[in-house]
Amino acid sequence: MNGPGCAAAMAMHTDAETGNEDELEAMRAMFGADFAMLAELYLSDSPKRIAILHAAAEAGDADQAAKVVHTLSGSCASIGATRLAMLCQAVELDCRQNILANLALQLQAIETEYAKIDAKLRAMLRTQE
Amino acid sequence: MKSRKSVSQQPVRVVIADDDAITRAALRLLLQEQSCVVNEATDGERAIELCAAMRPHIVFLDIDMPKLSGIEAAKQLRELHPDIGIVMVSALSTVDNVQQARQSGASAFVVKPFTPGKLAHAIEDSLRLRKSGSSQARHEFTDPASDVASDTPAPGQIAK
Repeated sequence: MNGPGCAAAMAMHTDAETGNEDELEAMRAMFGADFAMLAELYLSDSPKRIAILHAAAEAGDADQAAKVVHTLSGSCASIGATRLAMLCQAVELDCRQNILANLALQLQAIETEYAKIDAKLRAMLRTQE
Repeated sequence: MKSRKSVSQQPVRVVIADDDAITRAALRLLLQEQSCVVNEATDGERAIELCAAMRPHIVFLDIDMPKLSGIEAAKQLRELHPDIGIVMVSALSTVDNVQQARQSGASAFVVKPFTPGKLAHAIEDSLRLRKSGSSQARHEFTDPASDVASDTPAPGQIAK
């Protein structure tokens, strides 16, 4: 799906306030039984990455922050946590330009969004068992 | 299950290079669903080693990886193994990303999250360009929004 539909789908992700749940459900439908493995991996890795991002922010290390938030963004996108992926992408773009002024607020937004994803994924895993 | 075969009717061999285990797993599952034979690397250097050893038809490269980025790995692979189709992968399709991917010699750009349709399209394009010759592959590039070779968007814009 590299055609115009892809761009349209991405625009929809941007606009849809409830996009996360739809995306996560779509991923579960797509991966079937394997979704549990992906979700567990994501729930295991993401808190560590957010902790590294915190440490990088506190140290003012824009390069390290950009690297870890890039990886976090990728895993969020792969699991269907689209809004969180977009928050991470905004941080990555800022850090690449060494703009750290908004990082504390951005981190807060990432943590808030991650808490929603965490709760939703755990609920999905319970119903998948 | 749709069986994915190369032009020689052998299963399509694919190398995936990404430092994120979740992305590798998601990509591997979807490619295996299309009967691809998949090997994985966690950084750009290892991707080049794997490509030399496995001689895949296609390599999927994360645009930003440890040791060697996807862009740098693509440049090296284009010189070392011009017959390997290169698909650049990113969660972010900025104009800069797409342009860098194109200039590095990638034949397609896939934006996460993956879907079977996106991957099938990227594989078909890469195999087609591989069959038609690497020199043509340098000039044809499937970006996230176009089925055909695309014009370069203005810098600073998000690729559509």
